[in-house]
Amino acid sequence: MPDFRLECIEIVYRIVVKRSWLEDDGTLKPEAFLIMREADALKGLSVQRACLCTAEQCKSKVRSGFGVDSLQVGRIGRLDLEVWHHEPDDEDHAGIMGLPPYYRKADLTLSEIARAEDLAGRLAAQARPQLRRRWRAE
Amino acid sequence: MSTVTMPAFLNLPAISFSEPESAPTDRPHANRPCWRMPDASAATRIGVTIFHPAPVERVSRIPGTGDGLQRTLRSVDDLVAEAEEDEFGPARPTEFARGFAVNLLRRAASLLSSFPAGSACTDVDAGIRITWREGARQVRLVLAPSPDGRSYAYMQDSRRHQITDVVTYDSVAGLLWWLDRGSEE
Repeated sequence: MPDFRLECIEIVYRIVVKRSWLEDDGTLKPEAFLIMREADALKGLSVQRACLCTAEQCKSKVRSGFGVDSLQVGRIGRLDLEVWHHEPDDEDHAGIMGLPPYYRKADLTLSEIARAEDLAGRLAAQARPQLRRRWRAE
Repeated sequence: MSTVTMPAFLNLPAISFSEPESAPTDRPHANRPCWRMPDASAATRIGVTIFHPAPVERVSRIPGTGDGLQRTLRSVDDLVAEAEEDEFGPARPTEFARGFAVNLLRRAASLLSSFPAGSACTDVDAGIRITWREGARQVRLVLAPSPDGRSYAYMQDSRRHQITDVVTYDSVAGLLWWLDRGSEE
């Protein structure tokens, strides 16, 4: 199956893999939506498709984590971002495309950094906590 | 009276910093100076105007922030205990970034009657990011990992955002003042 763009009605999960992405009150911080790695710039910011993976099942996707938040693809699209599934990734995996490459911020203009910060803040505001629990793979 | 001037790019007027005309006695910061609302005519350019003339209000709107500075510094110090790296890159900030953060925050706090609690995390380049929230208003302070790195401050509310690479203790104090009070519209 070729790469495809997710429909607006889909829900995706963003896994909270760093404790420092959470405020003390459990609110997800914008840092969870900054492109910190080249891989995330190429294939999109990693999310799981809720239609194929429950919030609980997200725990098996990473070595350790602190929570799971949901976002609606349609609302992500209002920020001029798209969510794509890329082959040969697992079918339940997708990536939010279009975020500025924050990991290269030394090469970005200040306005490009501002855009990265703005989008990260808006995505964080959209995110709804589904799971708040620390886990670590055996 | 001393005057703290916001970075020019913010299109903000100066913020006056002076002793209260009549120091109230029933408030915890009664014996300390407070921020005053500036005269709008101090603005030099058309653009976003954050501060508007309004009655002086001397008490923070953010409840329970008396230990805000200590909580923020503790959040910075917690990063030092992290592993040096994780799958996203550096997890522990450089010693320069930590020292920069502590110095900046302490000096900014010396200009404010209350200091909001911020939350720190290590940046992708081993610098430090500190975020503050108050309702729809946010301030993000991003500090470089080395003297030749780039630091910046980003602010947003529900309608607009701004960014500056002028990061000084007085500009940080001004941003946190805005975070606390908003534009008083």
